[in-house]
Amino acid sequence: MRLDPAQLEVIREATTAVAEEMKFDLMRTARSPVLREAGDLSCALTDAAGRTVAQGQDIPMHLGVLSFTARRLLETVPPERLLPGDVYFTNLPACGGNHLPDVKAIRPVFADGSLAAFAVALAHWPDVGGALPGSYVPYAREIYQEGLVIPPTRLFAADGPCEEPLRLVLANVRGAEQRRGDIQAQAATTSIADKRLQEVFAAHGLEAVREVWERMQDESEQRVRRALAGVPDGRYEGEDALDDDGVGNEPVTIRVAVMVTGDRAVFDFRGSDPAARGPVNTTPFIAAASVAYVVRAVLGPEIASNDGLLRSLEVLTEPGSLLDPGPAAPLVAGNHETSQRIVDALLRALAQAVPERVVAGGMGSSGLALFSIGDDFLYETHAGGSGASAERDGDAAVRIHMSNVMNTPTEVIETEYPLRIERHELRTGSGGAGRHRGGDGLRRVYRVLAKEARLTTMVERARIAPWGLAGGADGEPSAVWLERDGERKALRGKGSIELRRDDVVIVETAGGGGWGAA
Amino acid sequence: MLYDRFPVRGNSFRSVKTMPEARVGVDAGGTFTDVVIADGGTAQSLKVPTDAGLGEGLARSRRLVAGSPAVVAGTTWVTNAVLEKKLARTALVTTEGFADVLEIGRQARDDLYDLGRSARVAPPVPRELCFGAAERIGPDGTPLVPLTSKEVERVAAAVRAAGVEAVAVCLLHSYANPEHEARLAAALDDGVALSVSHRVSRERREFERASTTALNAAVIPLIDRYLRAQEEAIADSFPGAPSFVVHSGGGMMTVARARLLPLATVMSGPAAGVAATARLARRFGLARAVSVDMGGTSTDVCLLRDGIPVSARDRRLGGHVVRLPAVAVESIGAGGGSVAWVDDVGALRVGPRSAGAVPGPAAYGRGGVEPTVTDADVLLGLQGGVGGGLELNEELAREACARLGSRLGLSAEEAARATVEVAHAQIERALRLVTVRRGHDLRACTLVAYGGAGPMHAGAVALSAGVERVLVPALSSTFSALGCCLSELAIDDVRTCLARLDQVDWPRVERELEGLVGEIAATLENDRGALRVFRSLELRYRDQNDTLEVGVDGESSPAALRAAFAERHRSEFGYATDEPIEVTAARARVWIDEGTGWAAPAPAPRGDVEVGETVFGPVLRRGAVKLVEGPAVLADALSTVVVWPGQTAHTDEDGNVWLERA
Repeated sequence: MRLDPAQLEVIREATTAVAEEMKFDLMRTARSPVLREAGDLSCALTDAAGRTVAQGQDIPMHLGVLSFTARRLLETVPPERLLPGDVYFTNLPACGGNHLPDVKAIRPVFADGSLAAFAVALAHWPDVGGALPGSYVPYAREIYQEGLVIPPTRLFAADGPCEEPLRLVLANVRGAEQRRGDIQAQAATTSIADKRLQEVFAAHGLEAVREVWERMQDESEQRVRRALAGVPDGRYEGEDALDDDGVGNEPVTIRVAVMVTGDRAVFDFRGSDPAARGPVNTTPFIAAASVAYVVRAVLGPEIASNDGLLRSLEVLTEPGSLLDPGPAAPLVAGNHETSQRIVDALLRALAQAVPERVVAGGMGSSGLALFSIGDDFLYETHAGGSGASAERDGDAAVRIHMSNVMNTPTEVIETEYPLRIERHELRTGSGGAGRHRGGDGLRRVYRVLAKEARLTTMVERARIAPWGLAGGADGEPSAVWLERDGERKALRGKGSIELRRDDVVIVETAGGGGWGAA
Repeated sequence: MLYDRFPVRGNSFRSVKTMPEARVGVDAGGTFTDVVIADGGTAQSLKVPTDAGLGEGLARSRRLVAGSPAVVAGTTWVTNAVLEKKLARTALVTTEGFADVLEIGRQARDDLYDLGRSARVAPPVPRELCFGAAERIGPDGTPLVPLTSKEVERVAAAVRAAGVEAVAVCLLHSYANPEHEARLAAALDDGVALSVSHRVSRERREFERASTTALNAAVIPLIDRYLRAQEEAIADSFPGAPSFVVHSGGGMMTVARARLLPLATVMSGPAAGVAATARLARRFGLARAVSVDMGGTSTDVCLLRDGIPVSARDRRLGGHVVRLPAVAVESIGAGGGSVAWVDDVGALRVGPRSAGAVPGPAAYGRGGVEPTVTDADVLLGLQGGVGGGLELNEELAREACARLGSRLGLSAEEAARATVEVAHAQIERALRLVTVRRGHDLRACTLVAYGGAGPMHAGAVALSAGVERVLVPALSSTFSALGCCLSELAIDDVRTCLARLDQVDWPRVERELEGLVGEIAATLENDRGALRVFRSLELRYRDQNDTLEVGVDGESSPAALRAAFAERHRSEFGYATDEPIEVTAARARVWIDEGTGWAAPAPAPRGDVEVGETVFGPVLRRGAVKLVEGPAVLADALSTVVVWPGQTAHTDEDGNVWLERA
């Protein structure tokens, strides 16, 4: 059947609207501050084969990962076993996963009795069990210390929640009541998406919708190919390193060779370091997500994120390495630390091919500080400076590349947690000098008002500073400080300590690298 | 009959003598300024080119009104000033340690992938004009660090030395205790424009409050120029006439209040149309109505429940966060002037770029060559005429659509049809956004279509979306100006009020609400009519992000609120639970009921019903049609209503056209 141009746009509009609405549905009903305030969540629609068709303007890291989740689900649960009303939950790294706190709800959507689509809602749970509240264990040596691994498990069916597996999950995570609310919100979001899709199918016919979905994927593929054709053929190498793996003190290096041939490209990460002992490992899906991000950011911000974006990009990782470490490896920090470093390595490689389109290094880290106080967790990320480019200065205090999680307002923290924020300000001059300056990092100062608390941090760029480009200076590195009884002491970037009343924790984030000699 | 069939929610506060008077409503758009004169229950309208200025419109309306009317204007002045970055030099005073609140914001970037643009728009106050004051209020309002007189002096001196036109003050937790802010404000109040956060937006979340307060300060010196020009124009035509400005909440405010809170006018234009829709919805008892205002560059839609517009906060304007009560209008870039184009992979797109007023659509013959929705309308025979003396050139429209068609392998007519269908899909998406996403069935809503292009397209959108009924009001092309005439003097306000519903000290909440109402009532300085009040609380399940607004009256109790909240939650989100419920804010809308009724146009003079024919169908004189089946085009001097195949249209005694599925 030949689609007329209006039909193509009408169905595209309708599909994109459903994907975008999911995020709002989830944010409106979720319970955890990390979801409702910081928006650490993402949603997608896929076709019957699990290939993504549309995603909202969410978090790049999640969007890359969601491209694989439903497809991997189909490898575990054959399509004939999926039923209308089912919602599967999973955080299994091998199932298009990234790290355990990001739990995906996946609902098969049926039309005329056959599988037509999947609605996927990913939410960061503030706790999935494990050795420490908040499920961030800087010293973890195995995934089992990081929390409950949930292989694709049906938690909802047409007649409501599947209480037994739901109880199993809730028995293994902290804050069960709040978690139940989040799980319900995730399931409800996919249910609303299902309802909307049924309306789209009814209005336009399944056949036409399928054809438009193919076309949407083809368009992204075409746009990537056209963009790659504009990059000079060649082999471009880049590398960058994490400060350490959370266990030892040695840097952990990611190496990439980008080979561009005509309208295709290979991204070969096989020269990267072997699997780390600590939680900075990550999955091949994160490597692919990082590649997809860089292709959009450097070559075509207008390219729609769907399966077609990845078709002409080949991503190679080595089993047993940092980027494909096997099922038992710890990887909670890989999601937002290692992924950012993969982006850095890619940008450094592409700086040789298209120098005018690449920005210098920035605060490539979540700057995560997780306070657990009694039954409450405050999961707080800290932005830093972004790198400068040939065109302009970097930005101050901004989340870069793979993440875009917001902060929690000081007034919300102070009303809901026994913490006082004493300062929240820019770190003036922390951006690297250059013809264009890197953006400044920030400083946030927390005073503990509770009798005791625990602080876990995942702050990168504390030893290896964000790099300048084309002769620009590096930015200032990040730092975490503890002030107790009038004495100030530097903390590890990735660490976990007990706090007591009147302790002061200072998080300072890195400035971005400068561009060009000053 | 000029009364509302649907009683207004709220209770009378105290009765004051009413002063019914004639009204002149003015809505200035990009191309035309619309004026409606409402006097004694009848209304007349006219359009003048915006270039000619407000004075011209008022001068021409002078002849149509006896006595001295009140003049009510919608204004885009502040909106445009913000979009064009014409802000006054402004200082911000915050709590020490938080002077970078605007620089840091919520730390997210606006565009995920575009490395070429700044992460966020530059704040309304540059960093060097942000000052910290040593003081601290705790989250429960307890002063933790006193604000000393010496510190007040130091800060005031530093701000004075900076040589600014405006000052904003936003201290941490000032919503819980505004005393420190008030003292600083008193010291800073010497000849500069002043904006203080607890008076602008008394709600938790410091960045949103600071951004709103600072932006408000930065536009105070600007609105002053506009208001002075407006007063002069009014004085020329209507000496001594009181004047008002429409605010984002869909009511009017005094000029004095607009000077203090100019940022409350950013949705002025759309809100006026929504206010008029509210009057219509109440008049006809429409439980669910959606306004569809399709103009030259965009289409604005808003849901009204029981005749009350849904309200929203945390809007973005030019990248800035503005947290003030406003009608929840969603705007999409599909209007009559939206350009149809073919993208890099061969797909047809419509908008968001607009041909604007100049050169405008190709059919305007002002040099435009790109095909627009209006050109497609002309080619498809949907246009019965256009107001303001513009002639439409079909040949130029055809050429533009033919060029578009050649890129898609379509004829000019096919390209025009595709363009219109894409525009309809975009409007439908916007309609779904404001209804389905809030748990309302779009099909059960009545669309109220106005603006130049709304009545041409709403019928087709209704058919495709399964909507039963479209109401095209009399004066549809100047409906926003009519809304200005019908606006009530009203103030909406919100303040943070945190409590668990099951442990709440209910008398305290009632005192909070009464305090809010009393403050608003004092601000209104009412001597015009009966004061009416609608009080509500924002409620949520503990730890939830979004809140739902639930009305409070004398009968309310925590138990009744819990039940009402559960019902709303089920309707909006599909479920309800037995989790604890929290109160997050107290809200009130206080307005003055001046007894302003509906205003309908005078009956049209007699004449032929059928006045022409297009490829779409017969063109009929709008005022003369009682009942007709589509396809047909109903036209008068200013407006065009399209009745699509499968639809009937009938006109009621007030001149409203009702489109219904045949």
